[in-house]
Amino acid sequence: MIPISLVVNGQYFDDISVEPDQTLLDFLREIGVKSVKKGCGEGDCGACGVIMDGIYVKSCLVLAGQANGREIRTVESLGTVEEPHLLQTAFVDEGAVQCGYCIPSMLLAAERLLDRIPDPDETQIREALDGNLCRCTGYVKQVKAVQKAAKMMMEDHHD
Amino acid sequence: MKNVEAFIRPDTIEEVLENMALPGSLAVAGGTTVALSKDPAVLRIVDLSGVPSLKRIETEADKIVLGAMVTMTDLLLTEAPIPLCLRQAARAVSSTPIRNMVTVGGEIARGVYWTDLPVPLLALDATVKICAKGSSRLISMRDLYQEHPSKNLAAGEVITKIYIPMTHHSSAFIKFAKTEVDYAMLNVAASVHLSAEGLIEHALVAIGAVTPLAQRLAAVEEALRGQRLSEDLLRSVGTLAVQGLKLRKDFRVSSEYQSEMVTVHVARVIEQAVNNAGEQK
Repeated sequence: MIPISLVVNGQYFDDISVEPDQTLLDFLREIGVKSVKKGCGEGDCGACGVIMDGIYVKSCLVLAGQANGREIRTVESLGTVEEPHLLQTAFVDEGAVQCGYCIPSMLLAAERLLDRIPDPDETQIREALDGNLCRCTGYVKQVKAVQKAAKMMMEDHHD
Repeated sequence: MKNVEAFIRPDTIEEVLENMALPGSLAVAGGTTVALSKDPAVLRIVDLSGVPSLKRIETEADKIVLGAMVTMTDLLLTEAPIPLCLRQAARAVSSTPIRNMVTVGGEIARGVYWTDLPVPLLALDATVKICAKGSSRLISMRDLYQEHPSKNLAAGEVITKIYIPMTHHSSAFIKFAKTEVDYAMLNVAASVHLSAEGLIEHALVAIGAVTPLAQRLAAVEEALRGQRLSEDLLRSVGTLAVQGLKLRKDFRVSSEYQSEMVTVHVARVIEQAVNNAGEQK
């Protein structure tokens, strides 16, 4: 067993034992972060995306041991049901969520994009979401939702 | 990775090399293949992501120096004058979260047939710096890729830097795949140096994915020397590119199809490289 310490959504986990071949994805689900989904488990579907030290990565490709000393954020860091992030509000408003399986990870991809480019064009949005497979929708509503969120966030910022 | 006893993330290259000198050490760059690997011989994972100097992109008078841990996303976002073919290849790598992880050094070291980055690096005549505890050496991409790079990297050795000479005029890269995020069926890159009269003084052309390992196309390069771009020239070098090329078996396509792809894309990438001159380096 390998001891690791890391921060997940602001919560400090100290000296937790993990198996050497355990992925960050499995670790997160074990500690109860179930928004991180295991779709394919081999880096294709993008349902397990998390933000590690500010960078959006697929957690099924990261070993838990590699996350030692790192800061992990998942969709829980964005907002709550009572106080959703504007991205979450926009996804609901635009009907961008059907089964919802791919959405937590997609929201994180969108959040990283808007952090870098507050007013992205459609190509930039599609490029930012190109790691996220969605089997319900047609990748139209999500693009609209990100555009709407960007607008709302910029207005919010100006207020 | 069942037998791994320690994960180490040093913040200096010296500490990396100390650890890599121990038996059973595996250097991990972007790490996209580590979690899926089942190698029982690995006892120690040495994560390179904590060394700041390996993340650096430096612009010198006649070359660009990339740290081995520069990611595909870094190549796309940097304001450094990265050659066009290298930017195009970085963009062609899979999807955003993978481009956030995949590194230049990792792409070179892995050398899987469909890997995108080695092709432009060969066409740019890049040189790779390889370090081990107490030693370092320089090797050209071309020499490193004479056989699989793993055979040219001794135990304990780590790729640290990639030098890209800026002596070419312009370049281009094309990836051919069924979808944007799929593994390449063919990768091809060209860089050219044009004379004042618009003749091709010097061209470097490289191909990958249709061959077991990315490689230069020496006969094509020779045939382009001193020539002016024309349809006849492109047709003849396209045909020349297939001759003597050892195609790898690809379950997705026939060898006839591969040959056609090579003919068409080699010609196309040379045309694009020449036409990119003046617009962008």
